Amino acid sequence: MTLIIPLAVSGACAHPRTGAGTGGAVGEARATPDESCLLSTGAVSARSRTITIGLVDPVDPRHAPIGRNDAERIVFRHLYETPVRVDCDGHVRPELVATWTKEDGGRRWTLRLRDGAQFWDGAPVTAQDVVFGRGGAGYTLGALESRAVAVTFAKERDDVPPLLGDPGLAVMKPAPDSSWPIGTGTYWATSATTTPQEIRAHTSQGDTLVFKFAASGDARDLLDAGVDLLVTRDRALRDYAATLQNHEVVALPWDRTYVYVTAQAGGGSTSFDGLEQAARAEARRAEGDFWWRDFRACGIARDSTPPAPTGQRRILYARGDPTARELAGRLAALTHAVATGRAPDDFSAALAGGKDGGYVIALPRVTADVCRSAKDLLPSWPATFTALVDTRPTAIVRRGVARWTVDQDGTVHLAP
Amino acid sequence: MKFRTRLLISFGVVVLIPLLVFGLGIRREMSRSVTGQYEERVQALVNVINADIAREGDRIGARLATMKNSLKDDNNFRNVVVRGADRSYVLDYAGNAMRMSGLDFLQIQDDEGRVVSSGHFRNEFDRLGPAVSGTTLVRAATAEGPFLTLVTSDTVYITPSHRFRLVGGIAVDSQFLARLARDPELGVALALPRDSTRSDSGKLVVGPPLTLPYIPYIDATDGPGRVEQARIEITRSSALLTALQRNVNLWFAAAVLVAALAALLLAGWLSTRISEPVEARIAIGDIARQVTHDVKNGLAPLRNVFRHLTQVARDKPAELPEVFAERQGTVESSINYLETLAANYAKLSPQSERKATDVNAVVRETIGPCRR
Repeated sequence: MTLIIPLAVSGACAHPRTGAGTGGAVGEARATPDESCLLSTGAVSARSRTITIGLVDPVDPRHAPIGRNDAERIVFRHLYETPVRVDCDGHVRPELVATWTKEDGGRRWTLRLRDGAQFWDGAPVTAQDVVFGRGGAGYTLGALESRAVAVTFAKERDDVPPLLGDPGLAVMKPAPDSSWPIGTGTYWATSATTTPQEIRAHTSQGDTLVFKFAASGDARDLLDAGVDLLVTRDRALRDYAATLQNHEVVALPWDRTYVYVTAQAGGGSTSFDGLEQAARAEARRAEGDFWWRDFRACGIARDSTPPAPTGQRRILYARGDPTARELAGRLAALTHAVATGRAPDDFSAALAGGKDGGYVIALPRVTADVCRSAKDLLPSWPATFTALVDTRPTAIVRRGVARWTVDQDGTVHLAP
Repeated sequence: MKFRTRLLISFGVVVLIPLLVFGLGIRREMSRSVTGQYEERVQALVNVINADIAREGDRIGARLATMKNSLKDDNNFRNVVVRGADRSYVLDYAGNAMRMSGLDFLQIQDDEGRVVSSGHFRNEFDRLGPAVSGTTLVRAATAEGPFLTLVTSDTVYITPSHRFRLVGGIAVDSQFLARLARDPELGVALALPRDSTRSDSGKLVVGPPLTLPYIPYIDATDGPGRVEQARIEITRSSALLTALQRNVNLWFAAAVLVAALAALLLAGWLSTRISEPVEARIAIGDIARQVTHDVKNGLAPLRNVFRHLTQVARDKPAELPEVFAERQGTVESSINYLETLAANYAKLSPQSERKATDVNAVVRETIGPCRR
């Protein structure tokens, strides 16, 4: 795993490109190292007290802190904090942890929590809150004192590892009303601030972040209603935004790879041509060194024999993911199979069973914790993974309202 | 077997057999009549279906003609074809055009028959599509599975050297077939080659096969396919005829029951009128025979005694008193027998006897159970 993570990080250094002009045309990357992950949205004299973010996917608080779609990732990113944050360059930035110290040649790291770090209900965040129930393959967490956490790795590390920025390590505790878990982020939300139309998150200083859903089902209505940020993978929406004044259209890093998973050795005999054209989202041929190639170091128990096929030539995809549907359709056309959509939970169950002809799944191009991602996202049976295409979202940003930055996983959020 | 039983069986046979013949005749005639009416309607429907399919083909052709003119004027499409611009415009073209024109199937095929744009299945580009000429039934592929469509085609030249074929159609589903049928009692089904899934026990195929419409058919789910013949079958629901027959059976059973009951009552009444005097005479004859026999039994000893006394009086008159005394017992015994016999027969006829009755006791005895 220690070999895989740096490779994954290096593959993630895809800077967001900035808009250059009122027309929203895609321009060159920002060069300033400190601000290389900021989206260029024009000069911001003072951040507006109320900022609105448009969402095109549903958000379920029960999924916190690990988002299952772009909307959940944006919302959870603003509400919940991980020990560290990994920016788009793969640099580790302080978040809940303010400082860290290397010991024992890099096998042991001592993390000190940010002064004044507290939950939304005012309770101070302790080291026990950070370490309780957490840990993973190749590392252990321990509470040294009330505000110091010790991380011990199986192998030496020169730098603080990015896996401490994994959403699975976000600190939170259950809420009494079983709605939004209580986090430590600047913005807080409760069931009282959540409606089917919007989620309102507030700060103690009186700032408000409004996450607004496309009630009509047409995301263009959000743009016309004046949202300050909207992240989309729909090229038609991007083209519409390019016609709007005071908006920047910014291509975000390639953050998602669609993979064909099958029990067949070699992924089947058909060569998959024209897949980039099959997807309406911005797509390219999949490239890079993918983290799912090898995760033996994680020690995850896996089945030794592939599941018995049911004899159906069926390619499954998660309903609600248009790119997965289009790719499954193309694969069906090439292999004379049938593409079938499943609700996300049903799809996960079917993937775990592995009895269908194949599955089109969306995987993050980079992940902070390979082992956690492998456990959550990949089947346990011996599968063949064929990377199909990479896709990336587009940020549509209102100029001069706020400064936005991008994390390593492609999530856009307000710059600190 | 009693006379009354024989009479009852005879009446049953005489009444039920004509009733049975009559009922079966009605049932058969009704089936023949209903089937005949169906066949007339089927023949009319065959003509209507042929006309409807031709009309649908013309409608689709008109939409394709409009699309053809629009495609020829489309500069973006021409740019892709001639200069190889971004192909995504062409890939999305058929989908948009199909929705705008109200079609369910649309392919734009190049000169080789390869799909360059598909409306119903965007990502089947570069596959070989069906070679359609005229109105054809096509089993087409989509990502989710195959569907049936009635298509026709047209040809468009973007440039003199770039010829494309437009293949468009409408879905042939249960609603489409129901529209063809029109008559709610008749149904239209498709018999496709190698289709073993059609089996509906509630439907009867009617009409001679030669009168049923045939239509060209291409199975294009796994490639361009080849032209075969599909048959449109007109079916009628057997439910109506079954219901009629069930009703006839029900009424027939009711008629049989009523007739049997009437025969029973009639036989009973007739037996009362005919068989009772006969049986009474038979009974009287039997009694007369018994009385005669019994009287003769009583008279025989008397006749013997008198014959003996006559013989003694003639031959030995002196011994007559002594003999008479000896046979007197026999005479008296016979007379007693005859008197007893008369008394016994007298008991067979009902006799009224006047007696004093305690009415209160009778009433108490009558209402006693009620009081308890």
